[in-house]
Amino acid sequence: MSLNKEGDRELVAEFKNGNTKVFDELMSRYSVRLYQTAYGLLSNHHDAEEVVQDTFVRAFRGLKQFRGDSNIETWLQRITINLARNKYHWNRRRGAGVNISLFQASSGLGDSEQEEEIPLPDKTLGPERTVQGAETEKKIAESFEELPESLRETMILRHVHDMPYEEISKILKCKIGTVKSRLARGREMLKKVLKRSGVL
Amino acid sequence: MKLNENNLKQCPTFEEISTYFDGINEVPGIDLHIEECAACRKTLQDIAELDAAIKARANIPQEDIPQLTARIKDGFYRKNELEPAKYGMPFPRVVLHLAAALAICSAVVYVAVQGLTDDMRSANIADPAQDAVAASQIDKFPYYTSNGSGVLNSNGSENSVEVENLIPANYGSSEPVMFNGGVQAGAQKINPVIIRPKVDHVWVVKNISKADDTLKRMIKNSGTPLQLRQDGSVITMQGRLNKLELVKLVRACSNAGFELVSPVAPQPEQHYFKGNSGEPVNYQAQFLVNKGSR
Repeated sequence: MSLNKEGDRELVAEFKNGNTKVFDELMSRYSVRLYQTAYGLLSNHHDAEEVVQDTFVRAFRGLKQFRGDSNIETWLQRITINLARNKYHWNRRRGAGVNISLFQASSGLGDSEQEEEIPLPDKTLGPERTVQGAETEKKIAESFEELPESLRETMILRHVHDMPYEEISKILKCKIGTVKSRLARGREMLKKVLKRSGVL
Repeated sequence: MKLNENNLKQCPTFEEISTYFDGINEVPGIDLHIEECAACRKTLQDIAELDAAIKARANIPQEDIPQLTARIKDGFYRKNELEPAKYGMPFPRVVLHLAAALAICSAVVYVAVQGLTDDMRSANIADPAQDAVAASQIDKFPYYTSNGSGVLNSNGSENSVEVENLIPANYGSSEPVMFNGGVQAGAQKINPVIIRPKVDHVWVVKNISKADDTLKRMIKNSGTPLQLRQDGSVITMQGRLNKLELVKLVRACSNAGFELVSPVAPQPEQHYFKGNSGEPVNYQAQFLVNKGSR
């Protein structure tokens, strides 16, 4: 949910009046939420940070034309999702999803030290993360990859941000009924995959 | 709730339970049914577990939020100033074409000049052109110390460097590593980065003993002849490896959550390098805990 809709409107108004420095406050307010969306879709911390940076660059350049039909977060989330889609397809085409690791797993025989490879960039967890936590996260990320793009996006907005159906429908430009059915389908598919892999 | 011909209550559909989970009660009596029906209760519980798992994955520890926000802002300010054309500035087409032609010509000239000075570099003779390139690279990677000068504070000890209040620049590239031994000049949009024959890095870690374990595993698994020495709260890594191994090592350290605070190539996000991947490099790195906080 947008943290402070009234405050956002004032910020946007100031920005349009020429005080572009208020954009820094906008970034403070929404960096984390946009990052969570991007990371949820891309499963890569560095890609997610880049997408959010690019979101803000686009928003900075387009904010003067922002009409205010939706709240600012709806607009920002829409940009983030579009950029994340592009990044996702770019990565798949270029094969950049392959982890450049010095230490590819040499066996799958259950030796945790041998199997553990240094994961994709993960500044939020660092060396202290447990092997099990990393495994669960990896399985959820892999399961998400199996979902169609539209279901992934809908589920991230609902589960990560607890957004109401109406707001999701505005961000994704679809009907509320479509949001409902996507959530149901996504949950059903994800549930089956995670049960199969023992996470649930 | 639908009743079948025997007047028994039928279970709601998965979608109806899914919508109910989101707080939208569209089916009269669904809540009572779920109370009485173990199967539907299980379905609801599964959705709740899924919700918790997705939230946990997206959760960012509170202590990491300031750094995350700072990195995002740094990246925004950098991109906003350096790459206006990429983000839709209305340049006339002819200006863009001229700029592209100039960039290609510059790249060709640069590669030609660097080729002439390769021998000097491999003999480790001081080369002002190389220093100038290195200096320009330093400018692109803003590392902030407490005095804001971009220079690391040093305590003069040969074995340690004290660093305080550092905010490392944004990292992150999953681009493949390339060495220009096999790439045609002019095909790249950026200049290749020079890796010197001797590289000194300083890394900031969160926990020295965990970092020690991680580094030991890295060295063991990679087979590179690197040695570790821990002296109090500083770990020193030394050894000789080739340029490709060094690039991969730097990325692996970054992937492990270590923060590189030295403005010296190779950096984790760099991917296009001058020379050949097998050229040797003497590498020394110090891993320490950041003593200050922002």
